[in-house]
Amino acid sequence: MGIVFTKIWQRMVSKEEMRILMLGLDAAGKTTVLYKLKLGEVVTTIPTVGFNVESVEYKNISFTVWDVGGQDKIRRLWRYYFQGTQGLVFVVDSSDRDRVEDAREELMQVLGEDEMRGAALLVLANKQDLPNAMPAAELTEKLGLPSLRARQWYIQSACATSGDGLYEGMDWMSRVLSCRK
Amino acid sequence: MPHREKECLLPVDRSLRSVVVLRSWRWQNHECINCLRPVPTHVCFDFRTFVCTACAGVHREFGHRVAPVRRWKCTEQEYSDLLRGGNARAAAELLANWDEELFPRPDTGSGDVEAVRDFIRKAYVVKCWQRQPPPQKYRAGELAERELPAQTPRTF
Repeated sequence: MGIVFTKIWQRMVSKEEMRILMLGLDAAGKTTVLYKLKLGEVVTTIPTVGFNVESVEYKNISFTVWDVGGQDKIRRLWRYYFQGTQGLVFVVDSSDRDRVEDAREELMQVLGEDEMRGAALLVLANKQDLPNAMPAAELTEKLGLPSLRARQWYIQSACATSGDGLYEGMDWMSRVLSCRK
Repeated sequence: MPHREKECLLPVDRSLRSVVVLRSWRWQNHECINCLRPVPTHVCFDFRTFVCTACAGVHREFGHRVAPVRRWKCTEQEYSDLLRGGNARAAAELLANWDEELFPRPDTGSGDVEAVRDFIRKAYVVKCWQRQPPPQKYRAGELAERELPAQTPRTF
C-alpha cells in the first residue's frame, strides 16, 4: 500500500529531466521553435553560431533543449552534443523541396552514431503555413523514416511562428521518454 | 517565537579573516571561476563560488546572491555552506560537461558583458553543462552518491 502511494506521489511531484537535442539544416526554424516553446512568442533570429540552450517545463518534465547551429560549415560540430541525449528533434523546412535529400543524409548520419542509439526521434515538419509545403506523409517518405529499424520515431507537422504542432510533438516526446523509466 | 538565525556567530574580525582564508584556502579559489581572473572579489552564495567583480555583476542580474568578500558578515550556516563549496567543487558539478573548445571562456578584460552573460546563463541558470546522473543501470547499485564531507580550511 505504501509503495502504491509512494509511486503515485512520485508521479505527481517528481520532476524528471530530459536532454533534448534539436538539429536540422540551416534556416529550418530550430531557434524559432526553441524560443516559441520557451517564451511563447516569435523572436527575430539570426543564424545560430554555436548553440542556444533553454530549459522548457512541460508536463512535469524539464526538457533541456539544445539548439545547435545548422549551417553546413558547423554541422560537423553536432557530434559533440550527442552525449547523454535522450531525444532528438529534427526540424525540417517542409517547403524546401530541393534540400530534403540533404536533410535525409544528415539525419541518417546522426542516427547512425553510437551515442544516439537510444534516442527517440521527433521530426518536426516545419513551415506548414507556406504554400507548396510538403505534407507530413510525403516528408516521411522522402526522409526515409519507414526504413528505420528499432527506433521510436514520430513526425509532426508544425508551424513555429504560430506554434501549431509544437506541443503535440513535445507531448509525444514526454510520453515516450517517461514510459522508458 | 520563531527561531531566529544567529547572525554572525563568529566575531566580526574573525569572520573577516576567515573569508580571506576561505578565498586563499585552496588554490582554485584564487581565480574567478568564470573568467579565471586572479583574486576574486566577490562570493556567490547560490553556487558557493568566488567570482570577479564583472562576473558578480552579471550574477546579480540573474538574481543570484552575491556579496563582496571584504564586507561579508556571515552567519554560521553560510560559513559552513561555503566550506562545502569552492570553485573546484562547483566546476566539477556545474561545468562537468563543458568543453572549452566548443564554448570559449568569457573574457571580462575585453569588456564583453554579453559573452559573460551568455556563459553565466548557460552554466548557472539553464545548467546545461551540469554533471549528468549516472545511467539507470548503475544507479541501483552501491554507487549511491555520498554527501561530500565538509572540508576544513587549512590554517595559514
